[in-house]
Amino acid sequence: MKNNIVEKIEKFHKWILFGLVVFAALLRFINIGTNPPSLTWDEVAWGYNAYSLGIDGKDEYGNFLPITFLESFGDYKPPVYAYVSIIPVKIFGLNEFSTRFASAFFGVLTVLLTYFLTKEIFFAKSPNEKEKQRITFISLMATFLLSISPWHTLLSRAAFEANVATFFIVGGVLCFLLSLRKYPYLIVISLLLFVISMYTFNTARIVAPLLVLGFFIIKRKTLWNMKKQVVIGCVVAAIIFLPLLLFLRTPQAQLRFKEVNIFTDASVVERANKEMENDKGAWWSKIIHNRRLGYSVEYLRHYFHHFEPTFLFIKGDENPKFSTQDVGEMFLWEMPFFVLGILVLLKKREGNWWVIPLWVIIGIIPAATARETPHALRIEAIVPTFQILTALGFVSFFIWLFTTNTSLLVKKIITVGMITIIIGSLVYYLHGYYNYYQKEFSHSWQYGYKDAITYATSQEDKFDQIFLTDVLGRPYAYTLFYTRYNPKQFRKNAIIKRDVFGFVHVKSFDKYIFDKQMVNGRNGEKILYIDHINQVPSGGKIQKVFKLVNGEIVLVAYTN
Amino acid sequence: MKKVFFFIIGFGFLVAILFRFYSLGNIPNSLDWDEASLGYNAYSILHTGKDEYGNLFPFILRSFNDYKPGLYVYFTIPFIQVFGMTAFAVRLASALMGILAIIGTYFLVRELFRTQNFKEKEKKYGKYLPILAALLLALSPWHIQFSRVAFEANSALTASIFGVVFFLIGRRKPNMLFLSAICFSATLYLYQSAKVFTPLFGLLLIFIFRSDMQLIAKKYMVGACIIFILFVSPLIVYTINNPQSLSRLNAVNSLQKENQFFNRSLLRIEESKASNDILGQLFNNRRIVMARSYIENYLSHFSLNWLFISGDFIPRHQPPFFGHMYLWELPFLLLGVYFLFWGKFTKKTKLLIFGWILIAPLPATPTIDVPHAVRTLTILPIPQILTAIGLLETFLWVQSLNKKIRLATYFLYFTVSIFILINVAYYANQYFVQQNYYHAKYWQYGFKEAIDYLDTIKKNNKIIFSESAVKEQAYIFYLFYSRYNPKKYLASGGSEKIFQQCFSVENVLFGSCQEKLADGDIYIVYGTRDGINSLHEIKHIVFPNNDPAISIYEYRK
Repeated sequence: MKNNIVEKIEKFHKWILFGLVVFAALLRFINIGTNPPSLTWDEVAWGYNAYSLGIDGKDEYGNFLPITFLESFGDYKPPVYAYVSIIPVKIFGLNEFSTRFASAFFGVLTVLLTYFLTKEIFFAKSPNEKEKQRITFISLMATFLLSISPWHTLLSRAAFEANVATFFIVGGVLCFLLSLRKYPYLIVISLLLFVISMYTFNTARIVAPLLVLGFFIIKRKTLWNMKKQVVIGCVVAAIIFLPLLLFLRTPQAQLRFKEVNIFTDASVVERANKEMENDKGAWWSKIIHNRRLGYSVEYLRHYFHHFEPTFLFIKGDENPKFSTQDVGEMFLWEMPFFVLGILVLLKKREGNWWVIPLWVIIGIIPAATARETPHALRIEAIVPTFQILTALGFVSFFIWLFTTNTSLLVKKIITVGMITIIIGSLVYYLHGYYNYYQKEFSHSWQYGYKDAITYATSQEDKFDQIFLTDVLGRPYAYTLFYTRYNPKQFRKNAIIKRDVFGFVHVKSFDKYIFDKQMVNGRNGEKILYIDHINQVPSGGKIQKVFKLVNGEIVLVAYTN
Repeated sequence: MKKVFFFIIGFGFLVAILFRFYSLGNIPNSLDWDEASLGYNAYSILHTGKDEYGNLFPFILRSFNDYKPGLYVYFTIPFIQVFGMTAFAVRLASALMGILAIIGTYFLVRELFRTQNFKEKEKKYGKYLPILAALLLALSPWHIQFSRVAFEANSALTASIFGVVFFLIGRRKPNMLFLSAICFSATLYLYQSAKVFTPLFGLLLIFIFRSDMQLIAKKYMVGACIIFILFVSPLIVYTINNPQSLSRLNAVNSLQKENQFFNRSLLRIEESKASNDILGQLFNNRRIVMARSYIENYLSHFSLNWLFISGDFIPRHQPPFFGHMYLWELPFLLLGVYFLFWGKFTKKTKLLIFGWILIAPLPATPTIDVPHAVRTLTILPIPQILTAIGLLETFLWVQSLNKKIRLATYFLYFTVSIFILINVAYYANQYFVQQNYYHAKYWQYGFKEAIDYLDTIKKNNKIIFSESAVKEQAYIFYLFYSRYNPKKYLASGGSEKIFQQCFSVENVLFGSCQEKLADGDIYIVYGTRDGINSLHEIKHIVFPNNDPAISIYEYRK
């Protein structure tokens, strides 16, 4: 019975793959404009910068075709996401859908690539019919798992540049493997994709070069036989990488890293000193309480966080932007297959099996240097590996099950039970996502500015100044976004301050003021205030309240 | 080779003894309340045959109404008799049990891996694996932690290890099944978690070895079962007659503290009902929410950080800034899992070890404070066995390498040894030096010092332990450290009174007894001062890190 199914899968694999990609697209695009319930400040910045670049090739502050960074809020965003959003923003206009389009689009493409990647990883030189079918089955399963993955669907549904970087990395790995086997010139494309990923997401700036280094070391002999292509690829990659290299050497580029990394945590040193004091300063104490060892253990702690069962299988990332908190980054039922997949991978060592452990180990290295761990976004580059491992475990289990001499009834019960669990988990996740997610977590998505700004623009003519609070963060970006304000105008009339840490503060532009001290009503100007409800002065006349999805009041508009 | 072998055994014993007995009474630097309670009950039974409540030779101790399984107390009695009422005497039985567990592990591994039929390697496995696993247990931070304190879980572990050992030997010598039954029934009298672990584990053993069981005469199996039931029945009868003895289960149930968890699902259910959403009502059903919470608790025990870096939330369960295993063990543990899974071991051995791992976290699953190293202590010595397999496989692999790169292998051995040495030295330092500094508070340090001080001053006036001290069960520390005569204590009513707001043992008062304060009375506060006027501090006891522990005041108007 089972063999028939595997054969059929092989026979119809193109149709199945097509179906899976369509399914993945549905899960990534449906209601993308309204769920997640609103845009975060980063998303708004992506959208508006794409809008601005699409008008005159300059970013919001007027830098012409910036390639190494977008200054944005002073966080120096790698700029690719803005460029890939230019077309969707042109076509669909500046709104939630067009801003998120690129992420969802590349998310779907990543699902498609995963099929070919898996095939390439388990590639066998001269497979018999059965092996071929097995590899197809594993590849389709991995594709299916990625298409429904809570981790990947959620990150594909908002404008996360990480999700686009993941596509480039997956593409880079795939092209690299293909270049070894069949098309040597693909190595040029592979290196190109890796470099582009570095222009897309900060974490990729560490992951991509390490991956390439690992690949070059492991496959040095094969690469030696295609040195011409390798040299061309390296030269092209180096030229494109050069501007980024120059930027990375500047202090601005290093500033943000220093803020979030664990190695500036003084408590490790304080503890080491205390413990040496308790040992009365003995020589051996200086060895065992060496601060480098202390920091190494801290680093491992953050590294291991990404393997916490609660994170992976129960609740997911604590940040509700990356998880519904109802399911983990993966489904609970995937756990046994995931573990089995690791064991099978290491035992069988098929084809390019080594790619997966290398990728996982490297993929977590940058995220573990930060204080907030586990972090689903910063390790997103490893996403297809976990799905491939789970698929391998799943397929191995079922092939084993159907070769044992257990009764057919037991086999059927297990199979039907498994299918029920898979569908049940998916329905559970989607039901929660479409029914509760917006309501329960709209505050995490900085919900409220859209309604407030839409209201403010409708009242614009009645007031001389409009004050907008920054309690939800970066109100200027939202105002630009929702008023579709002309970037040329903005550059002319905005008042902008940059603080010592490099952060950019837009104080005001046009009628809109974001710094309360600058509000000036002495000459009888009419002012509309939009602020937190606690900030309404006695005697303030509330014009309108703006609520979160769950009905809590988040902002109010009032006049004096 | 033989010399090396004996050297390893000698070294292992030395390590086991050193790590378990060195400064046993002073590190950790205080008895916690459970240890003090076990100690005083042992003292009381020794002199009167009754526990603090006047129960004659009890097998369950009511203690602080947590109904501790009571067998450990009887192990302690001879040492109390010999060494007196000291921390050392209370803990000695546990330390000895720890040594026994190491010996048990040796035999356990020998039994488990003796029937492997794979030629050359088999001999090496049979020869090195038992001693290696035992050595790792001797060094194990997890095992040392609970061998050095009077935590009954440690004795329960030893009993269940021997239960398996006798069971496995019982396949050849059926008589041993009786001993196995006795050991397993003893675990139930030693630690609460065993009530979940032992039955499940027993079923696992019978399931895995059902074919072996069919080979031996029925009378042995039946006999062992009868022994088990006979030994366990008093416990069952007691539990039925005293349902309050199950109260401990409710006190530690994790769902008690998960209200916010239910609130969320209740809200969702209401909403679903309003909108006729059947799926919503189904998915937020209390049972699903509970199952999710339990699965989370269960899986929390498979956390690398818990095992290797941070340990439990409760600081008494590990030395400061340390987990339950050495970091150097991690790669070998993972290799061990790999080699056990794929290696040519019998299916029974594999099933037993993996089944054991899956059962061990179950007792902690419905409880608070997970992951919990004590409730899952019975997982030992499995991590050590797996690590030993990983070590041995690595060693055999390195030995099989080309002779040309011998120098490299020596370098490898050297680096690994240095790393292990630093790791073990760090652990020893955290345990024997830093623990007393950082964790004194959690070991309820200060009562001994306070009560010794009270002995030195006049005793005519009343002594009052304030509520803050009574929260730490001051009365049991007072009874223990003042070696209060158990006959006298029982004659005055025993411990029934301790649940009152204010109770007294002769002229010593406990609880909210402020209104009884008279001129010249002594007032004792744990932690910070309660805020009563006219108190003059006469003694200030601090933790080793200089945080305030206990303040003793004299009341003067």
